[in-house]
Amino acid sequence: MRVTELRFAQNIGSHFKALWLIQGKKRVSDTGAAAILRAKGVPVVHPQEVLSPAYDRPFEKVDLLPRLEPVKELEEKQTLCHVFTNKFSPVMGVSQVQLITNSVVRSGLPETVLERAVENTAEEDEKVKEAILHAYLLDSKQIKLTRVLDVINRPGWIYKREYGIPVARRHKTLTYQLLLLLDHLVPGAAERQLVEDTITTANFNHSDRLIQTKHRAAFILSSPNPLPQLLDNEEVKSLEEETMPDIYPLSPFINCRAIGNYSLEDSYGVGSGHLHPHTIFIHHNQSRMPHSEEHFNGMTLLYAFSHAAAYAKQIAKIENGNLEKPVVVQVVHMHKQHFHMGVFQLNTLNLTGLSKNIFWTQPWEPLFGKCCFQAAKPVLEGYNPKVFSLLKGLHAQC
Amino acid sequence: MVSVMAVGSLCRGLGALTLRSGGPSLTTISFTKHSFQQDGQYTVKPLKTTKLGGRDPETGRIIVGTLGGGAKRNYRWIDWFRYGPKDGTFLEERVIKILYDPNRSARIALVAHGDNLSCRSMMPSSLIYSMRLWSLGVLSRFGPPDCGLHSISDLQSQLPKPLVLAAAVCPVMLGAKPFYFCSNPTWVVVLLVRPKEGDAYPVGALPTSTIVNCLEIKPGDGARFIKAAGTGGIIMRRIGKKVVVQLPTKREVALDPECMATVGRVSNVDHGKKHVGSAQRRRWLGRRPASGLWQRKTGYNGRKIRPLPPIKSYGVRPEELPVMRFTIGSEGPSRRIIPSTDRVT
Repeated sequence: MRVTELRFAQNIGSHFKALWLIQGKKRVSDTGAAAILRAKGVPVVHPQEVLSPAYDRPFEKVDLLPRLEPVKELEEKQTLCHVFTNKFSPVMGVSQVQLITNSVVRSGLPETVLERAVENTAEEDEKVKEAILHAYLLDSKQIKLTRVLDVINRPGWIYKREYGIPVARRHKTLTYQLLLLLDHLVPGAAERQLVEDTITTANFNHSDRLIQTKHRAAFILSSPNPLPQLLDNEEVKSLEEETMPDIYPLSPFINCRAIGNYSLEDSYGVGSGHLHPHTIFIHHNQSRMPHSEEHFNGMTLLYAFSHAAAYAKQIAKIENGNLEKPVVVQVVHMHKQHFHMGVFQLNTLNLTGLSKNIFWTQPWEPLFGKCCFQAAKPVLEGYNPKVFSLLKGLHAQC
Repeated sequence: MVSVMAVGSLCRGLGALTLRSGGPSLTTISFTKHSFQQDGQYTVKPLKTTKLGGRDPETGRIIVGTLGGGAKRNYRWIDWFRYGPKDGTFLEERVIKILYDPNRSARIALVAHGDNLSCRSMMPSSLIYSMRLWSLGVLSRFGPPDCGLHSISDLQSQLPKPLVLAAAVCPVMLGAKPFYFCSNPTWVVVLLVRPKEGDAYPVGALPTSTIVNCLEIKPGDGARFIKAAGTGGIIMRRIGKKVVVQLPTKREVALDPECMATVGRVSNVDHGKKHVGSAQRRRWLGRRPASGLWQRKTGYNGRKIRPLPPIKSYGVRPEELPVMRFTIGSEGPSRRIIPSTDRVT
């Protein structure tokens, strides 16, 4: 017996059905039966009179849901605005952002932070390593990761699509685990509140231009009391003599094209005015870092400024000019194992005036060198304890 | 006949790909479609492309049989326009980065000035330009083997640390007599500039024997000639009001003195020496296998020496006279003589 007879057997039914339809169309010839029956006194009725309607078919009328109105696009305004989002990369690094935010940069974190950045105990280090392994390897989340291409070294090569933990989830897990550890170590830290996935928007005038910062933060750690002022008013006054960097022939707004459709509303990521910003955690969630360290550090300064300024605008209701009481914000910016930390003191919202803001920072620190499975075992190499000790220093500020 | 038709449709295909949108215009000779930003503005982001596999973008028919496949090359929109202010000052641009471009043999430069970020085709050895996107630069300093510059990374290490490398664009001084033009009917250059590699000047301001690249053939039209890796043209002489430039093919063209040119050779000088290496690599580059029947001619076939073509003069064409019609339509044939379809039967 041929195999094809079996393989095509399922099609036979279809042929019969088709034939049924075709044969169903017939011309009914008059056989004279009706006339004979009528002659004998038998009533002849058309079958449709008996058969239809066969039964009542109830219909239920259901109203469709009202159509969703399309999201209104913002109107094009005549005055253009430079909108700095998380996608903005300062071409000239920190110098460019200094000119945008009117800030002075100090290399090295403030002494109050460094004093409290004590060395880790062996137990703390072990717990941090556990947190890293938890975030990077031992998470049960498995999704299809982004495509990897290496056009220059392996053109045309399609790498195997990997499944694993997405970068954003790794960052969030790691940050959350480290914050749990820090809350245990720092007394009184449990009173702070953690707000997740915030959007902060603030608008400013920069000479004759309009600028807006619109930044997402993974976490904002809010404390019941504001952070203490790091520079007193006299020292802030002395900043006026500091020179700003020169990025001639570039404008500070390079790589951020002014757009016309924007909204002028200010909003701080945390709704209540009682939640004073303590530390802002920004995650750089791209699978591949397209920026250099200099660009990355510049972004950190901009994030710190935007959150401090939006908070100041909400609290002090100030639009422009110097603040009566400076706002201090700490920022932790991370991409994979790189941590960049900084402390920012906002003294003024006048971005072109003499008085200046100040930012303490230091080069980024890798938390570890390598964290992957080797021979089916989770391996963590090159752990750097300095990162956690600095985080302790930041967390202990109050 | 077949080949003539193929060339005709090829030209139509290329014409369809001449892109002009917003401010800077660009002409591409590539068999890909580029998707531009919705606002049509210039961008330094690589543009998404659709590969056509040798097909005509309009008719969909195969016009080049040996194209297809290969790694996708997103298009880098190069800003070919280098103009400065006309008040005697210079426009300085800072080189941000030297980049690789899969669509051309030369390297390109990310340059910036003011609010603008642009890509320039990469220019003379160390100098590349402004932060709109990239330009074809020239890397003549790669030339001598003992100069220590053999790669882009070498070049980048040579850049001044604050990254202040810029191309200055010299203005065309039409109004100022002592500078550039003279009212004398014969062409006299009163002041020639001292050319610096990477800077752009009008060809009329450059001394003879200067090596140039990214050459315009019409003032304000953008660079058209001498863009390939390692190439450079030479400013030969002046004839009347025109400047004669020798192209890399030794052909000479007479140009308007206001045409802009960049000083130096185009970068990636060793490009021509690199071997494709394998048949598979040709596939990565998007070329399909040929029949193998074609053979390169050898010395047995004799030496071909032909005189150079006469100097071609570019410039503003005289305005053409309008076409007038001296007949009326009813005089023509009563029905269409060209069938509306290609069908023969």
